[in-house]
Amino acid sequence: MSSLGQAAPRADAVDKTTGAAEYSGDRVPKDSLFVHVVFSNEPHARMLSMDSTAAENAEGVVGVITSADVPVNEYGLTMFDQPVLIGVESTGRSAVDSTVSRWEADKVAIVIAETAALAAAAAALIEIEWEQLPIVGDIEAARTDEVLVHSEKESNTYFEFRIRKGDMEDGWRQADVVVEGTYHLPYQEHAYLQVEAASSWIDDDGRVTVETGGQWTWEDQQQIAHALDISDTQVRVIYAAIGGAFGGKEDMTLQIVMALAAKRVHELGLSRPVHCRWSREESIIGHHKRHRATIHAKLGASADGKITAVEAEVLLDAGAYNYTSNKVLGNAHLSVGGAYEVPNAHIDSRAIYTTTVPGGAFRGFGGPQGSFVAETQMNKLAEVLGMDPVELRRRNVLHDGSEGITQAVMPEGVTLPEVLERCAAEARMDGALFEAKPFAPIASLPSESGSVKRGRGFAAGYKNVGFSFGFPERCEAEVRLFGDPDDDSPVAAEILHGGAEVGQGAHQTFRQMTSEATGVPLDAVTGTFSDTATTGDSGSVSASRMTFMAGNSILGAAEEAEKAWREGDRPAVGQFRYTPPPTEMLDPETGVGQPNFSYGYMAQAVEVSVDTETGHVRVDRVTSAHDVGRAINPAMVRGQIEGAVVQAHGYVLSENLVVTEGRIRNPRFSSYLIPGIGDIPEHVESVILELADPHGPWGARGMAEMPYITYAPAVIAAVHDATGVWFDAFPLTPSRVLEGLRRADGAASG
Amino acid sequence: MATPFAVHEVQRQGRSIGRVVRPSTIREALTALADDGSARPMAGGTDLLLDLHRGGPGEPATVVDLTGIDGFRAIEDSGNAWVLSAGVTHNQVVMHQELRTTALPLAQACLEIGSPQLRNRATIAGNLVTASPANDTISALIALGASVELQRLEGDAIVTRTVDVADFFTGFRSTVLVSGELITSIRVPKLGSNERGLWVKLGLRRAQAISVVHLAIVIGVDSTGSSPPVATSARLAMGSVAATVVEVDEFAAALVGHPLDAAVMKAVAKASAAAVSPITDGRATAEYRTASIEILLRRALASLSKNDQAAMWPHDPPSLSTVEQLQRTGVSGPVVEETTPISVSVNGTTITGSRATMSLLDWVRDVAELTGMKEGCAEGECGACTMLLDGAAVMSCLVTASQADGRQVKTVEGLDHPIQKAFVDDFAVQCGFCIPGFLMSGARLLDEVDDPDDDQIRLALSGNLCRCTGYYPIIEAVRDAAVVVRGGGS
Repeated sequence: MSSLGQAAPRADAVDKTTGAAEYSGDRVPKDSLFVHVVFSNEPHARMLSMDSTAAENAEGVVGVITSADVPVNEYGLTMFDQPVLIGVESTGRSAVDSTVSRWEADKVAIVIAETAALAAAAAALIEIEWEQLPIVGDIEAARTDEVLVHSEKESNTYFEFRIRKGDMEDGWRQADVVVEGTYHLPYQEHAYLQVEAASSWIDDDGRVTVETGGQWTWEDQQQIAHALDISDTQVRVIYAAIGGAFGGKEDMTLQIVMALAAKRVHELGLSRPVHCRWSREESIIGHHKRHRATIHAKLGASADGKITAVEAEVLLDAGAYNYTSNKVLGNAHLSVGGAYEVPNAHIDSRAIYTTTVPGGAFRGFGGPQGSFVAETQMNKLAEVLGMDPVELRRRNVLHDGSEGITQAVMPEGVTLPEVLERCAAEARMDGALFEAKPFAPIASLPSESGSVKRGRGFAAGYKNVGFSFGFPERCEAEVRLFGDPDDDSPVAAEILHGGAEVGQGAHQTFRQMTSEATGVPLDAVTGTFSDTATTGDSGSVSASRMTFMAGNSILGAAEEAEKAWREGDRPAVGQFRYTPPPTEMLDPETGVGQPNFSYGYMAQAVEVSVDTETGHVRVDRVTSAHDVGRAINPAMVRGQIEGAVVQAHGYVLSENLVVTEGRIRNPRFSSYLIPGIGDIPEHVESVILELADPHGPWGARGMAEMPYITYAPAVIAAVHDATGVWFDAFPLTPSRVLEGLRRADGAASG
Repeated sequence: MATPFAVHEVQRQGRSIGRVVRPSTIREALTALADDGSARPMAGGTDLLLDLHRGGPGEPATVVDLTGIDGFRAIEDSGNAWVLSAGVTHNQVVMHQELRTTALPLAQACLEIGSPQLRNRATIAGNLVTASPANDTISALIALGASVELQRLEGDAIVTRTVDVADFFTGFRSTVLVSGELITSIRVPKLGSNERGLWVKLGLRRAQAISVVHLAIVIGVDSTGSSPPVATSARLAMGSVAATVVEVDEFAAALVGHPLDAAVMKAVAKASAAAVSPITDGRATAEYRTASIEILLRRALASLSKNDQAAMWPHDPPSLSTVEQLQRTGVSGPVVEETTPISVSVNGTTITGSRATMSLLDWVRDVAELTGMKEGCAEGECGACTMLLDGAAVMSCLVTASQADGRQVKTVEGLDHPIQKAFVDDFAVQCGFCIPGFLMSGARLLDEVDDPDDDQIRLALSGNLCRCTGYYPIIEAVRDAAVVVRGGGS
């Protein structure tokens, strides 16, 4: 029996139901010292002096690490623009100005003590003199460049993409109708249930070892090695069980500081590990968010619904440091025109520094912001044209051979036309709404049927699979085959892989693919994962890439192992490094280039009930259609669809991160409201298409981000269908909905 | 301008608990409070522990744990009123059939507070003492005309006074309580045969939501004559609209003497909404509050006019506990300090250790060295720490270890239940961090109801947050486990 297409139970699930699974916060080594990471608490200020003597002399304190102790005081996933520690003293080996705190969670010191409480108590004894600098609190303030967040840069607008395609004058001339809007997209907090935690020590081979949870062991290793100025072979990164990530664990939080702490303890002649676990509040204050964005867009079309021109300006609030903002920006840039044939386009996308929480990776990676605008513009266009929203898309949708927005032919396997039709059919877009039970938003009061209005909305889109824009893309795997010398075929196999299990089921997928590639039954396939000492460079679990990339690496490694098996090796070992078709950085002037090698395609239809008197919105039904190429484990695919839908449900309806004056004001689960079990859509229909990607392993495509991306515009369109009001900003809290309805009423009657 | 370093608010150290005094009588409790003016009384602890943690640095606090006082959890029927001892929890009210029928607004408020785990610990007296205008039971108690009995020591004498709940609050989070004074009971008049009451909450989430607005209405009606009935008395209290929960006199003025017809109800709703001036905060704008109050009142009056105010009460809402478990008095005994050993039966094994002034969650993880239960928020919101304490589900991050002294605690490590396999088989496990909490709530639900419907499952799991699955496979797994529990296969 093939191991593919099987809803085989996850190997890690049993331990996760008995309490045996250990996350990094559960693994406090015996004899551990404890680390407290001290936030600057200054959204924008220059440090004039710092004295940590009292903290060093405090009860139970083993050491205090400050900026002078960081060999190369800088880090950053795609550019080194962030100091590890803010401070006036420095080794002089970083170009980043480390004297300025640009974020309330910039770090000023690492306190190591006998207990976490003693470390925290000592931190309060640190004396710092600050010179306050003006807060650059939002995009509007930043764009004036009156105050520079990074003084070495010429402008707060530090990264740009362009698209110059066709002839815009021509495009507007051909347009019979034009739709224009300015959209405000909110922050989103990842709210993974497991907050950041790590242990670190010097291992028996002398390596600085950090055990934590992240999304890419190799990248953590590189970042630690750079800051500590040691070779990457002197750094070991191990992942324990990881309690969710969603992009929020792609950047450094505790990795570098814990490496520094382990090194310091070792230098003091102590052979004791160190441990740190953040509180929920520290996690929310101390890690990046989905970007806040302002997007202006203009869309022209002929009377028969053919797009003639797209103009857009995307402004992303990158916050204090780049993190992955330049890459997120690229994705927003590619998606803001939609997954459609656009003959004429003029798009400017800009990442802008502010003195607020950094924006960074979060499921969809710029796609949600760009696609929200693209799809809302399309839905508005459908309304203006009086055209069915599915039909409008049908007339413009990308297909095999289409030229994309960057003037390169789309990678082969464009299946959006099929996905679109299937979604529309399953959602019965041509028919009546599905039955829904009465909507009673107030628990003790019955439904007021007269005030409840229903509607439906549609959205479609695409999202790249894998790293974009020429970023070196690769994935390594090792497969071992076991058996006796005279066995014809192996009786057992082991997969060694760096890919992180953040909850999505990656390791189960690896095992199933290894079984398929080697012919060894699934229950005889074991795995060794996510330890730089034993596993290779997998690339990150991000960009919906891991099934695609790992599958190809496993196929290659299995083939190598098979060769070794035939040559009589026992165990037979095969190693392989997969590199996909190359991608390109876009031309800085025109945006011409081939940014991606594979895409996933999706469409969603959503039905809602709106209580027009209270402003509450309930999602009654979601039809979520996805071409996944090949569903390695259909139950886990469904899990990604449902999980992404509910995460996006929070994004569009309830999650409201309040950031003012450079500070997050509601860093708690009691004030930042993610959906609970009573808040979710009444019904989610997962529609899985399996149309092979030409380069995907067994045809598989990535899919984990896609169900997130189209949800918000589909809900907004459904609310419009119900109420006649377009919302260009969200979350749709009852306050916002009612205000919108009242404003529309006022406009109608006035 | 230079300023010295100030620790970030979220990294400020709170106060730890230095001593837990565990009286068995009111007199002992009052004595302990009189002896140490800074000592803090604790009942459910769900507000107190957060307050200590977040209130800024200070000396370790002395806490007087009232839960061991004899009769602390008693609910007495005194004829025309219910007398609730100070330790009565929200779930005790929810599960009390007669009380619910005769004091519906209070039961409705209790059901919408927090989550089952919190309702098993948090007390109505605590809801009053915290005195936030968002506290849900206050509006119900005011509308029902409830009063509180307060006691304090003067010399050796216990001084008792009675205060109407309507007069209990003096401002934002402040009350008439003087130092060393406790609420000892709450008297809740029953609804008369010609009275109807209803409580309404507007929140931003179905559970675990702080009210945007809450309100309670109690009206008397004369239904002997014409239909619709005529209002003979009326009381409206509203929360989250001012510094305290307020009583709206305009409501009675506009309603009494009039029939409950559409025109009257509309006018009363409008007049009453106009009488309050809510503010804008993180949950809603002032404009939204004003607009929604009118809507809520109109709908609530319509429901009362039809006498269907209990129609939306869910059938058999699960409590993740039993009446007996909730009635059980807590632990009394010698003072517990950091070095005082306690003994707890954890999953059937007695663990003895000190540091009982920390939370039960930390104690189980650090002292008992069982790390299956997780900390996801440390404020009772996420449910990842859900344990069974003497059989009742609790948020173990908001219970002190001292409160488990001599008691039974169950964690996921001690769970041996078909629900675990169902979670694996139904792919209800992704990252898995929230799962132990879900399993504890889910297994406890199936002890209570072995054929739960979807509403009961959602209510039972409303105190547990998951960020991976969207909850759908979790609901399926509970359903599937129920089949096994009923003996329908494995």
